Amino acid sequence: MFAPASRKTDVSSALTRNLVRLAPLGLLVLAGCAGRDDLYVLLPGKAKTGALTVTSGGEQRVLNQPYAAARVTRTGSVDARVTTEAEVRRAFGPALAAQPGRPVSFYLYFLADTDEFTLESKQVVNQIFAEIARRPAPEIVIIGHTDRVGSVQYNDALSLKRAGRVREELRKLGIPKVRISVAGRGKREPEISTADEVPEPRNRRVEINVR
Amino acid sequence: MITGADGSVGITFRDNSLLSVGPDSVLSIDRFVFDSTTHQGAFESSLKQGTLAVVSGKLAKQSPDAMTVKTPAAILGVRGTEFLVRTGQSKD
Repeated sequence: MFAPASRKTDVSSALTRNLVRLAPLGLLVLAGCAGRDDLYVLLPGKAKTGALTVTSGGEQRVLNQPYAAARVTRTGSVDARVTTEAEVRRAFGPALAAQPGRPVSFYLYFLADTDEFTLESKQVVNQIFAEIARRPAPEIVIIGHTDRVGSVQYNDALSLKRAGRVREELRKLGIPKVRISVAGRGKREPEISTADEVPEPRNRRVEINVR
Repeated sequence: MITGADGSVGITFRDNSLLSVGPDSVLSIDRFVFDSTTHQGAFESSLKQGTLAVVSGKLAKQSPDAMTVKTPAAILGVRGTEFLVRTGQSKD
């Protein structure tokens, strides 16, 4: 008489156990199907508006106009639309407010094949100090550049030497305590485009990037 | 990086990429490699939840495929400059 009842209990408790074991799987499946509230927006850039490629599932959209946006409500469904500055402020206000200050660059110029500054360059130093004082957590990157005379290797070394020289000068001038790093771009990033092997004073410079 | 209900954070990366996240967000920096001489490298991050504002830097300028941002629903390829990302489940 008790046997069937106990068998029933066994069955139901086994069922419960299985349901408990399966529950997390069910939740996962639900989460996978749940609608999404994704929004991707391309903003007008300071110099130019670039592009953003949105790929979801097999779908792809390219955003390449200011305020072009893509809404994704589930994986594989990308709706193109255009948003507005006001809408962007509402949706992204705190993230935009948290953006760090834009890095600013200053330039010092050099005499040919040397690490000696031109005279005018010495005045730029005051502006650099002012920019450092303006920032909550300043950092400086000193980036050397050369004109296009000489090999890549020679100019890499020269640009780094120029950057190192500027670091010493800034230290002597009593730069406030900030992190300073140096880099040498060689002849890769001329200010004035020239053919290779053309001497160009405006390309013999050191960039001081304050950020 | 995880922010609370009233939290936000802004970060400047070595290539001058600027990333900032709003409240209730989860962002992971999966890979950051930057060569300051050649500007080659890679920058991969994932926004799992919340809001993200990006100003791309020297990596994206040097090579169009260097920077990607992933969300649970999509992957964003960055061809330079400024954009915003919001990701999360819809409330209904």
